[in-house]
Amino acid sequence: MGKRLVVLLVLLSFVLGLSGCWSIRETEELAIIGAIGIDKVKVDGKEKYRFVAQVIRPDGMGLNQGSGGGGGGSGNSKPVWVIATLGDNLDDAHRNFNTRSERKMFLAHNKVIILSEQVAKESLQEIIDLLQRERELRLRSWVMVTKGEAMSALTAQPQLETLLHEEYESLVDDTRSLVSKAYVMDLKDFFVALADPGRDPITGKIEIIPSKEMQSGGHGGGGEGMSPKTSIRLTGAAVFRKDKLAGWLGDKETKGYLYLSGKAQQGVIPLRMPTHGGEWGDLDVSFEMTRSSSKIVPVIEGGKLKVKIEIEAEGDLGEHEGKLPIARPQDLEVINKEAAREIKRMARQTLTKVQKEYKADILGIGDKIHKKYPKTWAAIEDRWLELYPDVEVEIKVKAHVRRTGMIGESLKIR
Amino acid sequence: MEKHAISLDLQENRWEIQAIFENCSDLVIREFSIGAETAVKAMVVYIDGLVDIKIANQHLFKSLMVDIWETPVAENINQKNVAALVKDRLISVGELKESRQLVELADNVLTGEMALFIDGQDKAFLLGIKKWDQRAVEEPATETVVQGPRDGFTESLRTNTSLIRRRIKTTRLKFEAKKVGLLTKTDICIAYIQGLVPDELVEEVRQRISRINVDSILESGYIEELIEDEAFTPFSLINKTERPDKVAADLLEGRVAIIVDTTPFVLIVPATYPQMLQSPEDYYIRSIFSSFIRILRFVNLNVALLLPSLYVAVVTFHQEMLPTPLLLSIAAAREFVPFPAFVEALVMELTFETLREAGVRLPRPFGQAVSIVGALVIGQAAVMAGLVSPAMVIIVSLTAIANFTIPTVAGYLPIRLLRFPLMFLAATLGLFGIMAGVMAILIHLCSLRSFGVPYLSPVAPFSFRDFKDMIFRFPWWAMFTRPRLVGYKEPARQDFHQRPRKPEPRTRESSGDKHS
Repeated sequence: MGKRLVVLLVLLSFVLGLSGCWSIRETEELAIIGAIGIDKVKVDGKEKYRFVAQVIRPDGMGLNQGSGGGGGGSGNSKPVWVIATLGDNLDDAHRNFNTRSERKMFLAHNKVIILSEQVAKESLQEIIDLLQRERELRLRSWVMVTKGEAMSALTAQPQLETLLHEEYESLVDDTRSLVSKAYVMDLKDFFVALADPGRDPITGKIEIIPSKEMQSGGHGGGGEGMSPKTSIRLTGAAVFRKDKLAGWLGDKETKGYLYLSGKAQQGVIPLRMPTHGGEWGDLDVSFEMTRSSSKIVPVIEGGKLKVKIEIEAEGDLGEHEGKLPIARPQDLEVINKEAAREIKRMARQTLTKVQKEYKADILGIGDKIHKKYPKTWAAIEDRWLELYPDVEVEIKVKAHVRRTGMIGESLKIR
Repeated sequence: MEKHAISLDLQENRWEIQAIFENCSDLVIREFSIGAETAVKAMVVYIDGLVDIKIANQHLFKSLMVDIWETPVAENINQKNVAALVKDRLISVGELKESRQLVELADNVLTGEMALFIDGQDKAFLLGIKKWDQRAVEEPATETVVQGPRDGFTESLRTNTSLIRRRIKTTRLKFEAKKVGLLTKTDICIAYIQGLVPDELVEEVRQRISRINVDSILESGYIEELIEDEAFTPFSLINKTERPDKVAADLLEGRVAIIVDTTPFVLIVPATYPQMLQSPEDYYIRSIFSSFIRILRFVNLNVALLLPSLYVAVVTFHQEMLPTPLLLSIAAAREFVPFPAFVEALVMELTFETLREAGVRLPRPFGQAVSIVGALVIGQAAVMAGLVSPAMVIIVSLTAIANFTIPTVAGYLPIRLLRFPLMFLAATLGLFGIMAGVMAILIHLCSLRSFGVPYLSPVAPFSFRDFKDMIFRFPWWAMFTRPRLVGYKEPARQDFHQRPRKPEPRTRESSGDKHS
């Protein structure tokens, strides 16, 4: 009995060794990808997908000071290596990665997916399918669209971080909410918006800023020649109608969108105070946004569909030119009114553009109707995007200045 | 056995003794006579080095051979009254026994008693004047504490019982003596507090010890392996300690201690694994802090057991589970390492175990050499040469340090050992393998018993009452009860309502009363 048990245990331990390690992959066999981009290019008259991947070189990040002996002058290598591969379809291009890289693509740490304007303008169906099927890709990746080529958005120079994808990530995660001038969706929200008949996706816009500085190809050699240094800017938003890029929103329009959807956080609304009984006027006042909320309420009045959007904005007084009395709460009422008027103007401008020009329901008004009037929705669901541009939308804005900073009245200069 | 009865003839006894102790050069036989005209021949037999020769000189030789002349006794002494006189008036030694059997006498002489034969008597006196060179009571080398008593057990059974008796001054504290080992005839002692300890437990201990039939017991570890409940397990089912305060505390909980002569390590049964994660100091420092220490220890227990295998599993299978910057750091560190993570971890862990073993066994003066070799060669040079990654060195050192926080040897030995199978599982099946391994360990732990008490109690089976002394150590005024599974005969430890409070504000009347 004991002997048989021992034999059994030995055999069982073989099972571990035989079947166990099949999926083993050491870190040094991985090409860790920080960001990917998808382009379409014409090669010999044939349209091909270009898959751009930014591979992180762990030894190029200057982390290996201690073991320099093994690496041998690790100062030579750049922290990232951008690989672009072509393919007849996207999967082909994606798989061709390994014609250039001896390490296996590892997408689990990918943070950013950048689509070129051209790709976004055509149908995203194929791309979305691949991104969904890919096992390693995280739904937390940020989707962004760039004017121009994704390639150039991935070859830009990070300014403060070592790695470009970290810079993208910080721009989206940390600083986007400080200015409220851009909106970015992650992959999951993007999928949801695409699959939802009552909602269209909207996501971030990446601009590439050329700089006057020139950079050499490599730190040491400079064999690859000189190219202008570029950096990135996250600003505005890309509006989709179904799965096709319908157009762009600028800074202010994006802010309008953020207010409409209740997502506006910090940022600044510069106000120009109107003349007020000749006493003061034409002054610069800055409304510092802090919080906002919005309610989108569809109503059916006499068989006609109407949408009411109520926006509530809170903010602080950021700066003002000094003549305005602000010591008492009721003094601030003037600023409240002006801020509300300005927010309403921005919101209306955005709405008109999105509704009439792009015909994209990025606010999810369809969803709201679905929730409130399910039966009506069932009837109009298929025609929603045709009906949507003609829906009457009423916008109400309340703004409220809560604090005036460290001082009340500003310093009197005498 | 008639042959070994003590003969009336002194000379015959002498031959007999010499025959029994043939070639035992440490045996001393001294003949002399007691009294004057009717002097009686007498003989003293003892093992040199085991008796207190000063006391023997003063209270035996001097009083029988010199002092006797100043008393009238010397004149009157004769063959008939000599035995009674010697016993009652001449030998001033506390412990005195009589023996009529030579074999029994020889056994007693071997334990350090001095035998006094008198001519014409078929018995011999055994004088308990044992004394041998022994280590003084010192601070124990294992289980050191910062705050708390510094005395530790020694190799002498009597000293050890006295250390316990000094702490528990009740007649209910019993020390049952037994002898085990055909050749070593080692004295062992079963200590317990009557009324607190379950009778079945004491009976079980007695039985298991009487079951032992070996020729030698040189350390309490022998006994441990002969009486534990489960032979094949990495966990030790009996607690072992060098600290009298710990033994006293365990006795007071209703446990049984087995003290073995010639070793400072005392066994305590029944033992539970949670107990092995506790230090006596937990009870001496303030309860809030000792609760913190206990939580820390529990975390470290897991670190010591799992960290290398978690590292191997995550680095070879689950890279997506790491935060990106951490993955990049690890990847950068591993870039030039020629081995898979598992081999790297295995080599480093084995190296560390080797260093530790070398450090323990080496003579003191070489100890420093080991630490230099360890720190410089293994730590720095291996990393510089690109043989192992710095991350791995950190993992190994963290594991080692975590292991050292477990306060008992019995607590950390199984952890040291089980690390390796877990690493193997991690390298083959990843985190799933680790979980499977941990499950197997837990199931095994649940199946263990120590003298009938579940090894994981009070965790499994769960006892809410005993959790006062588990993860948290409640203040002493809240420790009302003894552990449920050992101290059930007298569960109440103390009175309720002993929480210290602010004094009542003194009223004018009461203070006035005092003064008047």
